[in-house]
Amino acid sequence: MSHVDSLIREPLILGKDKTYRKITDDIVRNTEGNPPREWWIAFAIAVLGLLLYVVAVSWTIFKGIGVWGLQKTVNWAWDITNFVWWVGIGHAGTLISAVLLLFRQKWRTGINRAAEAMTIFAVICAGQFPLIHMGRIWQGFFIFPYANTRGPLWVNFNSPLLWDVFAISTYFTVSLLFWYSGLMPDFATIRDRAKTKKRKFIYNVLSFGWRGTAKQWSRFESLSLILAGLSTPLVLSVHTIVSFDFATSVIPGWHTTIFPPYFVAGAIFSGFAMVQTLMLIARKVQKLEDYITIAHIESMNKVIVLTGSIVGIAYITELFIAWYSGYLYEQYAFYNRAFGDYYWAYWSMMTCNVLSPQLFWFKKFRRSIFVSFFMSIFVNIGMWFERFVIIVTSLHKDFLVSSWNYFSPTWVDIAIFIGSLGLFFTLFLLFARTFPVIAIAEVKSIFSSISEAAQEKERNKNKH
Amino acid sequence: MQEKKYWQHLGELNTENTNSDFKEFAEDLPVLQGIVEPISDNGQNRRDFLKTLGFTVGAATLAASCSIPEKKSIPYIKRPEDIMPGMATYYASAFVNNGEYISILVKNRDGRPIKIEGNPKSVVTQGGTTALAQASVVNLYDSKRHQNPSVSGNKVKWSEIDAQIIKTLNDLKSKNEKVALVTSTVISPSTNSLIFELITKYSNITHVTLDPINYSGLLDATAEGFGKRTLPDYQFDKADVVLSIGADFLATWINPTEYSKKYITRRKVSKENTNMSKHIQVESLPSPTSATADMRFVVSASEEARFAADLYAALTTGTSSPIKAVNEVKNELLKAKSEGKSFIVVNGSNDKNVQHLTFAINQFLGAIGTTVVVNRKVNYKKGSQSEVDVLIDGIHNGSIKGIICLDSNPVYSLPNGEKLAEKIKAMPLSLSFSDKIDETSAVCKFICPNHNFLESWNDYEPKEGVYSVAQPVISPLFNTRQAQSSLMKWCGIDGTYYDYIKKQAQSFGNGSYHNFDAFWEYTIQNGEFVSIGADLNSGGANYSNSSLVALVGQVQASYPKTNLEVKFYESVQGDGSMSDNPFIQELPDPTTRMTWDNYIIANPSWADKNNLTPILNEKRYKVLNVKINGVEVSLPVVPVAGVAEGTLGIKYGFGRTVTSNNAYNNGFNVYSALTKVNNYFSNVSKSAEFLKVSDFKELASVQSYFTLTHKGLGGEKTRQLIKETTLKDYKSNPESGNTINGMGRKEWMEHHLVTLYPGHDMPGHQWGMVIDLNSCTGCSACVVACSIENNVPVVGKNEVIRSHDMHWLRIDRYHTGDVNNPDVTFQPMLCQHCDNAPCENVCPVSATNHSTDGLNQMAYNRCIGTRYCANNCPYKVRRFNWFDYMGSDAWGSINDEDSLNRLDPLARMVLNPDVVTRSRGVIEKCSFCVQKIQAGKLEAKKENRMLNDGEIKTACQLACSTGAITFGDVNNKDTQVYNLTNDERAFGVIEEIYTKPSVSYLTKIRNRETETQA
Repeated sequence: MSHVDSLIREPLILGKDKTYRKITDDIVRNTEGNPPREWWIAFAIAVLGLLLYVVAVSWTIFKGIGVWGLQKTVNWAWDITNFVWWVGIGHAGTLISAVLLLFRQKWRTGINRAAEAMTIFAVICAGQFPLIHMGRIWQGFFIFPYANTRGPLWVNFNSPLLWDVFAISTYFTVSLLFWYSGLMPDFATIRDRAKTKKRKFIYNVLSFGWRGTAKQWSRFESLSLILAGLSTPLVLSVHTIVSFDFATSVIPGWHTTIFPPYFVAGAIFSGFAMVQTLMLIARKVQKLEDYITIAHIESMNKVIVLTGSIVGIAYITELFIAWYSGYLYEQYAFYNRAFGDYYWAYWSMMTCNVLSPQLFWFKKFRRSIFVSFFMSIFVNIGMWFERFVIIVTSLHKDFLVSSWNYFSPTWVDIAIFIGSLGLFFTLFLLFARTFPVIAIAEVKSIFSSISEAAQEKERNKNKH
Repeated sequence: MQEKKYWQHLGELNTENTNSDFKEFAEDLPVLQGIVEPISDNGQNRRDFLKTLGFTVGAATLAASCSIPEKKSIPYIKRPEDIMPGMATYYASAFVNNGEYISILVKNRDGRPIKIEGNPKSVVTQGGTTALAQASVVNLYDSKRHQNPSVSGNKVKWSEIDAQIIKTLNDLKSKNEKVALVTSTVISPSTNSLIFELITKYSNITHVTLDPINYSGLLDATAEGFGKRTLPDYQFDKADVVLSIGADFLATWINPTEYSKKYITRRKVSKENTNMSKHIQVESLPSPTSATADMRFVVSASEEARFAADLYAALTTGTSSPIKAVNEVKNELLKAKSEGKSFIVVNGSNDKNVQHLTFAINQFLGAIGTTVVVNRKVNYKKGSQSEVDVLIDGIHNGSIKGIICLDSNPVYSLPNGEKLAEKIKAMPLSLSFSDKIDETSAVCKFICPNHNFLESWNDYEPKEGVYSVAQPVISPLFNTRQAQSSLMKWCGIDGTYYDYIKKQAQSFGNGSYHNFDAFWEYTIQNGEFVSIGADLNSGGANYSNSSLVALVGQVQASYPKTNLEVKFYESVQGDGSMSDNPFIQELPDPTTRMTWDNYIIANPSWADKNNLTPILNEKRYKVLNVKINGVEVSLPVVPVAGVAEGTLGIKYGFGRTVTSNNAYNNGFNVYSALTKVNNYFSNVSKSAEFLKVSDFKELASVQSYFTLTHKGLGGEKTRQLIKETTLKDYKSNPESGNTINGMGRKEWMEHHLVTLYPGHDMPGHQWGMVIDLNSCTGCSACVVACSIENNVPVVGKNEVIRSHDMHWLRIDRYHTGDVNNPDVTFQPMLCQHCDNAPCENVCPVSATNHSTDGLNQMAYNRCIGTRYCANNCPYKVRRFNWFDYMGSDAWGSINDEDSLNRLDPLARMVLNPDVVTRSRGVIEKCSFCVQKIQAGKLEAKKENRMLNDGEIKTACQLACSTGAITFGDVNNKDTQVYNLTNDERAFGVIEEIYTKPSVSYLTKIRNRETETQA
């Protein structure tokens, strides 16, 4: 399992006296003992958020969707904005673990575990919204093509919403399998270190009795590769299908063929930003700076500037095509985005998504933790606004002037959004305390057997 | 001896237990085992398992199930003869509101009247209705009506109240104290006769006719000029040129249903018939009538009042007027006169002098006797200003000691209502017949609740020679008594009011019938009996007035132009007598698109100048404090294009203070600010003073944006949602105005609408609709008719503010041209039943799908409420049940916050049993009245024949007075709808996106030279 670092490149794992044992210690330490005070504070806040979510959703189901700010013209707003936002965030995990695995980007091992966890939790959050936005959630099972005696009454395979059902559920299943299979050897590591019988038992069950035999490792590798192969098209297909929710409609501003690539780029963009946010906090709190290095941050920032620019080109293309089409409804829709009632949302989006990431052309900013952190927050805000802009500004002024309307959220809309963040962070914090946040087995594979000191020597020698 | 053994089969023979104590089960049922004693290890068997399972599942079900609301259904013990369960029957009757007469058919289902339709056999209204008539059926089921006679608020028996009233009447008579019987216009001959008998018996009683909105000026002018106090019989169908000076005769003025019917005969344009009348409207405030007009001149409120005088002077002496419009109208009129055209001039003013001058103009133009006919008596309005003046004085100075109110609410509909209320309270006799809670009945000592009109017999004579009988369609719901029966009782006349009517009717003779009974039966069945022919529609008295020149000066002096003027106007929501009707409250005003309140309408640039710009997005409007005729008014200002600059408009019918529900008490009561000009209550303010602008107020508007021209990335462009042309262009090219991107519509469609995909197969019928924009006057009767037919919920003011209004059919209003004098076009918008519907393919569960006869149908049961269809509908006609508006959920009334009595069991009686009420969380929309289509198809099937064209009519189509809506089978080439759909004027709204709508619109044609207002 040895790995040789290029001497020109920065090492993927830092630290003077790293050994395999030290690596295990560094990572598993965070699941052992009592959580620190910061964790408890963060967890308390997250659980409060979750409670808010439960209250707001219960209120919605008890009273009706009317408690939201939706109305006769704008029938989707924060609900679907949140849905697309969360699905988008999920994409980074899959991209990191699957696509980068296939491309043999070793640096991914430092962050793939947490990114995949983020994917799972983001998809859990995303999956809430298609459910709770239904007027009759108790009849929600109608969207499954189950056997029935009513005709049979079948679902509508032409509807993008149905494609969503399949896309999201497939995505969730594959991501969960991928994540979990990767966790098994690491659970076994925790089990092996466990001091209490109970802990040993639990982690043994979680690891499915992993013993670390050569055969198991061989199968493990094969499975990883197969799942990576399966996940890779999903990275592209899921958000493509989500974009079909809009692209296949007739609403000016939605009815656009550019949506699939534009949405996928946006998804990766927002996902990397969210990974960045989480990693910057995690490496600090859990003292994992040696494993999640500045080099990782820089790599992710590169992806951010790339995808941000793709998104920016998409925005400009949309504007150009709207003008070029000569189609007055579309011309109005895009004019209205930029200069209409929701101009502030559009320009927030433009600033956060297109302009500010351009800073990352400079190495200094790419490697600045401070800039990276704030940029990741900006991008997350910007990407939320992007979905809001697409959904609300297209709907609120479409074809018939008589129906034009203005949407404002109610407290329930806001509470559900904040609450979904609560749900996400509750899950993520639980994950951070109970699961190894870095793939121990995988990160060990990139651990150079030559010590950093020796490498240093080697480099100095080459310089002369 | 052993008994002989009988056996039924071999098994029985071989068993030993054949005697009576044979046990079906070999051992005792272990009923108590496990409860009384613990189940032993080996004692648990299948039965125990099933028992436990049964118990737990049962208990869980019980615990988990919601209580299902109890629904009452009462079966007939004996079925009434003419009621077939599930079948509707129609009875002819009449809706009369303050004298405005509409002959109706009442639809009865299972003994309940549930819908009102126009009576097509009527010679007066010819099947037309208004929004008020459509909504009136709801009043019957108002559980907050006065249910019992009461004295000083205490429920009493009829015999007791009769005794007390007769005693009081006799007391007052013996003291010769004055008593006023206040009624609105009485057009019932029997009621009039009863009133005469009452006055004969109690000589101290005087009869005062008080119409909330007064037409006394017109009546008195007719009396002086023609020698007959009646309304002129206006013949809009005979006029080539219609000039209306501030009269909204298509929506509110006198009897809009009759006028619309006649007017529209000259507005239906086709290639064969281009003989279209020219309609010139002069006014200060926009109205449905002006939207229909060909030329519109905007003048201020005082100029509008003075207009007739200036025009008369200009026409007769050539005097030029400071009002520019006068000269233009004069030129138009003179030009048409030289071409030998016929004219009609109507004026909305209540000033006798103004009406004199209007008659004089009519006389000058040769209209008297042809279009303005004073021959037979027209009875719609009889209100008398002089009687009302005497009444007001009498109440104030205390000389009137008693008041009896029949269909009249003087405390509300007269100025200074609060003082009147105090005085009425102090009278020894204060009596109201009102069946509804209102301002006057709240202060009356005696309340003798009248029947609702659907519970009463009555007779009407809307016009001389037209006799109409209104029959009851349901037994009285409460302990009420018809006012006329009460009068009979107090006059000592025996018998029922029905007998009385019948006796009165004998004076009409038998017509062409061999005996009275046949005549009577015919009249009741048909609703109307016409005794005098159409020859009375022309000729008649001549107008004469010798002091016209003096009147010109007098009128001009009475209405000086000021910086700020106010005009009071009526909207389709009526004069206030029905503002306690939720359907009327939630009916959007066609000109302002507002519901649930009144407000000041003002010119947009004037509003901007005075810091009164609203925030349309938030539906927040600046409140203006203004002193009108000395009364301080504080109302939000709604800028409306087409209002004269410096003129404000406030509509009648709001500001109620005592109604059955606080939700109806909103806005400002215009009657309280009425003042007299030239001795008549004037629609134009005498004085108006701008006080201050205060904070914002939310108004429940349903449409915030009005113009079709907007700036986009390609510059300013106009949306072609409305297509218009001029008569001149139409004559040269019937497809004129009907273009898509500059190309003729048919050509464009052939070139551009190509698809790879197969369409829907519609082998049988294919339902389609055509709406003639030229005929739609925006009167909104269809909106109410649709809501009542289809159980569309009323959601209340707050919900409308939140844009949760539910109307399936709405009337969009668009402006084009100059903001100060724009063209207004109404566009009824409903589900277009697209044959390539964007809503259908996006529904994940196929809840909305296409039928084989071209309907875009909704399966409410299947809908899970993703609302994608509503988003993807380019016409935005789909409505989502945000809450449980109709109480359809098993959860009960958790959402009934604004207490509009939607869930009141009595109020629910009006629901149409053929249409399911929708639960919350589902989308609903126009179904083309699928229940009527199915009923029609069934009827044809039963009779084994093809459906006839026009056999199936949608609710909106039936309600429409102007026949703007045509419905039928476009697969059948013989139908009217087929021909219209393929007419050069037909277009689909935004059909260029290939939705293939089933609803076509016909271009609006304006009879003028220029495309926009001059």
